[in-house]
Amino acid sequence: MATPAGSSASLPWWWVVIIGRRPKRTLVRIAVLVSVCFVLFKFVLAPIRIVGPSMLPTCRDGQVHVLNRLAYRSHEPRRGDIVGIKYTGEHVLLLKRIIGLPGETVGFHDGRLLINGQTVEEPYVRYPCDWEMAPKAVRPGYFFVVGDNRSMPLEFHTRGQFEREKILGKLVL
Amino acid sequence: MKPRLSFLVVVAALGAASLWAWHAWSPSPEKAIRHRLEALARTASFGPNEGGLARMRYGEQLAGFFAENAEVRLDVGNTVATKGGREQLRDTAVGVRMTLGSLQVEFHDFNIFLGADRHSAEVDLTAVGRTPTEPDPEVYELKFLLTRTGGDWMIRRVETVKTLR
Repeated sequence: MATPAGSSASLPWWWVVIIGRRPKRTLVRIAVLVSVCFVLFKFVLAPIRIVGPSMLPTCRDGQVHVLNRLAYRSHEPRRGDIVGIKYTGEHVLLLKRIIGLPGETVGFHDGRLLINGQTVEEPYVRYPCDWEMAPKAVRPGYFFVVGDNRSMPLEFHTRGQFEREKILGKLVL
Repeated sequence: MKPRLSFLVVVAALGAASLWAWHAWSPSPEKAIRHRLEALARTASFGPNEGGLARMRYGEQLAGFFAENAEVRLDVGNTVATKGGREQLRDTAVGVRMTLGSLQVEFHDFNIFLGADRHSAEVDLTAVGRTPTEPDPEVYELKFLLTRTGGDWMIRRVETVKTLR
């Protein structure tokens, strides 16, 4: 029986495993895959690795999560969203939860969050908290963020308000 | 290949090589500033088992990156520390070196704004510091002001910027 020239019968097994029976098609697949990954991770998603305990128990040290860069194209950030905040770029980020919206006042009494003087339930806070913080006004165009781990003393916990433009994306995974 | 085509290919290759060499040997001010600050981060870093000579030279080497009347203002936690002048910076660096067992400094996400005179620049960057006593790295947003003096970019001022206010 004759075998057509260039058929897989004449190819070594490792060639078939690594490159496939049709190298041109494999090349096209690789190019498409690389392009899709590039677009996805450059413009849509941002993978991040958690360092530190400030978002416990929601996000643990060493875990890998993904931010959605397009989350706030159609609506403004909401209370309860976990967002990645840029310092001066995208290499190192702060991961915090939004608790205060523009124009509101944010405070803590006996560990409970007060928004405009009213207590707000936070089901994601699992550790005991005794924070006391006098109400602070959130500036227009700014959002107030804090971590979920409220068991650490208030003075050691990075918190505060930042401009909307500093948000890289919303935590989705 | 026809002789004329070969000639064109050689000329194009020589042109590309010249362009690459020109870029490599005479970097843009932005690139020079970036290299300078990366060198500062490398110099500021030290391991636990370095010799006495390295320890002695540490302050001198670090001070070499700063202008004579440079100022450093760090707002870290609840402490604000301002140091001015090369001498004071050198002494502070030696003090830090004696206190910490080791320190690893990295600079990321450079935003470089060159002045209109091209002899001054402002740089925003993210600094990450790791010490053996702290399990988590310390991260700060820093603003540098630099001036070009005698071909070198010297740091005139450094200050921390509060990302969360």
